[in-house]
Amino acid sequence: MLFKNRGGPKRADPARSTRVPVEKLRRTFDPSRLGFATTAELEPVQGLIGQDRALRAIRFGVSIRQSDFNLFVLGPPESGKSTAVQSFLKEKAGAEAPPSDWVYVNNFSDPEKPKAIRLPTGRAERLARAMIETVEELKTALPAMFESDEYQSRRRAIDEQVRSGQEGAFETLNEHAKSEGIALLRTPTGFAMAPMHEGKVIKPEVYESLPKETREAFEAKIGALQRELETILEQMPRAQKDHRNRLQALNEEMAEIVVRQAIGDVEAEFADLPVVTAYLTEVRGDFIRNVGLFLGQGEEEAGPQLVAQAFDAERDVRFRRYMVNVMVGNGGQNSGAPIVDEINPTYGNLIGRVEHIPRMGALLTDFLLIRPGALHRANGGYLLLDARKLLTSPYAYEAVKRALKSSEIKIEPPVDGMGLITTQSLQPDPIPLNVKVILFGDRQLYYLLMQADPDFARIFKVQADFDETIDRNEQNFADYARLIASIVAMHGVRHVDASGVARLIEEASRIADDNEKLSIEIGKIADIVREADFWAAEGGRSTISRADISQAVEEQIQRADRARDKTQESFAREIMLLDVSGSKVGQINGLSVLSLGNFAFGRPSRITARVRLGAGKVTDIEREVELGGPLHSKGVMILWGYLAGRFAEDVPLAMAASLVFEQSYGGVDGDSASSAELYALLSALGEVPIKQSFAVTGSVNQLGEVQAIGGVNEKIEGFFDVCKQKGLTGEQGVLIPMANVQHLMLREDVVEAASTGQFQIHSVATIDEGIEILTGLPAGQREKDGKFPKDSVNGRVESRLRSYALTRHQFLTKNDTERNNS
Amino acid sequence: MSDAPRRPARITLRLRSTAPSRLALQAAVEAARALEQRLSSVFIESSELVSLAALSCAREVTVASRRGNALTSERVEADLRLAAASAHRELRQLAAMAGIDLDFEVVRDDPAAALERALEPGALLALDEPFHPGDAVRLSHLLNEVEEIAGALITGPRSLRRRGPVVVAIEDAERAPALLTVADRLQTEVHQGIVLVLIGDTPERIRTLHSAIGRLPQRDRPIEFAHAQIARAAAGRGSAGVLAEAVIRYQGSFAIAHLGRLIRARERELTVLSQTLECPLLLLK
Repeated sequence: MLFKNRGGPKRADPARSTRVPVEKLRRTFDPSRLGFATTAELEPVQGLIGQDRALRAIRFGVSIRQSDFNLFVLGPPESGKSTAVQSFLKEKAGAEAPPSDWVYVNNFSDPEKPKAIRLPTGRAERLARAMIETVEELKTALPAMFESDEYQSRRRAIDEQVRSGQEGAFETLNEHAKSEGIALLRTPTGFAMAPMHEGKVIKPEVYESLPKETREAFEAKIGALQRELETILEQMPRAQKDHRNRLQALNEEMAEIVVRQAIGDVEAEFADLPVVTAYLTEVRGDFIRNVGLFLGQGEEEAGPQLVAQAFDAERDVRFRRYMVNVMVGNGGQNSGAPIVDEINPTYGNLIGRVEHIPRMGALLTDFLLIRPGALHRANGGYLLLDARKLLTSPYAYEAVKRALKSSEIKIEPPVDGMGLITTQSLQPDPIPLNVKVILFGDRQLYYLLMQADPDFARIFKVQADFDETIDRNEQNFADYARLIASIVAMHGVRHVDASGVARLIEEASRIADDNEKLSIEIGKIADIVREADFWAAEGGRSTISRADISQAVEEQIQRADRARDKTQESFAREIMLLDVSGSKVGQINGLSVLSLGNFAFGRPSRITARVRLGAGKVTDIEREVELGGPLHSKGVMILWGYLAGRFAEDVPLAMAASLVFEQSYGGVDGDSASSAELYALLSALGEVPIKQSFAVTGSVNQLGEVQAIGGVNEKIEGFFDVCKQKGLTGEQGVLIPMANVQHLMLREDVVEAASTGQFQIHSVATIDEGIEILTGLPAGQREKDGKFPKDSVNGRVESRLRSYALTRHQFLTKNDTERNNS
Repeated sequence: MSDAPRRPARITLRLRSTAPSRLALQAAVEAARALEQRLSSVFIESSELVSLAALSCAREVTVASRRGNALTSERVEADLRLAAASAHRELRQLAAMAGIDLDFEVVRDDPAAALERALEPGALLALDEPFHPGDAVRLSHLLNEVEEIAGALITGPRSLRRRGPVVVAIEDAERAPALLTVADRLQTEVHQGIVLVLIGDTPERIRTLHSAIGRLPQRDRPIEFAHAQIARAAAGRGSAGVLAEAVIRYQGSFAIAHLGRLIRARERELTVLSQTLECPLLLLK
């Protein structure tokens, strides 16, 4: 149970009636004040309503061009903060110059460090396209050149020179061998030599029968030929190398002609950008050096294949090195600065990532696998992030801070910072960053970050604080109606007629728990409108009316009120004891609020007080058993102050009292039951019965003033429901602090019961006002003799306390005498 | 006299002790598949080489070490067995992928005599390595000696292309039907059409060729001429050079020519043709 307290005390007017007029129980709204039939006549509102302070902060934060003046937009969830800020930014960003494009290209001298190139807006895609076109052109032009008669004849000449040199050497050797009578034959691994006779290899037995001198002569010839052959074979690699060099030179010479023509158009198109010109010069050199890529050769030189299919230049692994990775291309967007709302702010989604492709068990990558993050897309504009998601995503918050502080985006795996081993990766050039980051979160998070993170205050210097509510005034009614029109437009639901808008305004006050305010929890209002649209459809109505809104609200409550039903049932079956009629001494009905998720309801509780002669102590049983919170204990101690100050200025407060929430098994906190506890104490002390047909809420101070509490509507409705279940008698009602009258937005059935006299709501400013209603006796004011009237409640209490004091004095005196005598 | 259109009855692949060219093996397998023929391969162990190894003075210089060593019969025998097994394995894989039947035989004999015995009438000889200048004379001799041989399939070191039209060199209208029949079979396999290159010494000769081919009876020309590209080429630089150029220009995947004229070409021309060929060349008798 939670007993809320808020607001300050108000003085009672002795002449006023405590009964709250029916018209103040629920602040209704007359649809005729709106001046339209349905929201179809309204221009949907784009942006914020009634949030001038937040709006000023946002305007300031996004306008100041300092990297550390980022924004934190704080306020309740579902209040439309993000929509409102985006709407505001859209207008501003639309008038700003679009930012530069960024691309990553291959670093031909160090492929692990891709180069970042900044291009004027809209030219990145063109450069990427131009490189694809160039490669496509070279894919046909280079083979054509290398199949031309000119190339083929020059190549044949080189081949022939080399081949004729080799073959000539072998042929010469062969002829020489024949002339020496030596056969030269191919073996599986080389060449074999042996003596011949009549054109045939000599038979072994014939050879062995030859004179020794002849055999030695053959062996000498074979030895000489062997050395010649060794020399020829040793020269082969050198000749082949020379052949390769000459072919390479020829290839480069021929390729240069084609490449110059193919890339010339691109160079001319980007001649105004020196950095692109320098890149294209490198590309041109690489084209020429690696012309084999275009001739269906050298695929091994192209490195491991990252893409299995290779049907066009974009996907052909051989040509990836010439492609352009467009990180940010603003060509296809409308003009203006970008607004990026990153709904999943993970490290990779923010900073960008280097992806890998598995290949033969290894993870490989290249510059084309660098993926941009939200910071890249928002560079030169605005990045919107949910603070809670950012903080709960590993490394993400630190990464954003690092990027903002260094004013650059550096893509690196997050594990690098942990010193863990990673697979092959890249070190792309950092990209300069100029972005305005706008975080959205609740107040608790904001103050926590301010307290816990020194960097936060330095980087997020601007706070835009959204209020939960706006005032009920004519301007805000009109704006609220337009806001509902925008909800209708956004969700594509039926238009809401004036009666429906009026009902929504009433509900907005109810959500705000304040009949002078309107809640701007847009999410909740939008949910009601969408549900009402369903009920309007069910009823075959073309517009949403008051009845549909009411049904939507009731259905929402019904879906969530299982716990409330159970509570009501326990009262009906008298499992929970609660009297709603008759009178009892020292017993009163208190009220509390139970909050379950997004649904809250009131629940009455029996509070009892017992008094006796004592040494001056009020025992808070809840506190004693550690079920009472500090605020509740504080409230009980205040009672003691009130009693002592009012009734025992000149006598000892010789009483002992105990207070308890009957059948309470959970924790109790808050001081909104302190007035009820005081009434119970006064009843017990004065032995004055309290009418059980009433329930009481309100905190009290030492002066006996009743102070405002929270959840007043739910509390009243909670007691009303129990009374209704047990039978309304017209005697039942609730006492609330006078300061809470402005918060009354009661259910229509409660208002109806009050208007027919079946239920009462009294507002009280002091304990005296309350005790008179509860007991039917006058509270009593001190008379000239300084005493309260004898038959008044206060008189009875004072009399009882004096009696206690006297008794205690006599008791103590008697004891002292007996002790002295003994 | 006109040859009756026919296709080779068998493809005989010559394998020797040196490692065969992958390109040559692939060409033989693809031709067998296209012509729906069995591939007979004969691995010839040179009896002369085996005899040589028995000589005490025999020496070998290996390409890998570039150094001379004494040669022994045992080593030669072992090397030959390994070479045959290696060639068989490689060929078996290619044949399995192509789905053709394969015979593999190892013989030890004089290489020329062994080949002559292996070639049956109507067989097409496939060589195991890129055409070598020295092969021109030997091939000519072989084709003349073996009367019933259908022709030869040769490759060059650059015969890589496997997709493209079949390029048919026609210098003689009478020989055309035989060439066209084979070309038709091959183009069915590659699905890239046929290019007829009419080669003549003079424009008049080429026009005559064109007319003659157009008048061929339907049974003699299995291809539909409307779908064939017809190119004309003057033979000023020799038939072999013209054919090589046509293969490059039309990106041919197979070249077909009549053996008679090309084989009578100068040895150097034929060598240049084989060295510049970008696809296998089928020389039909």
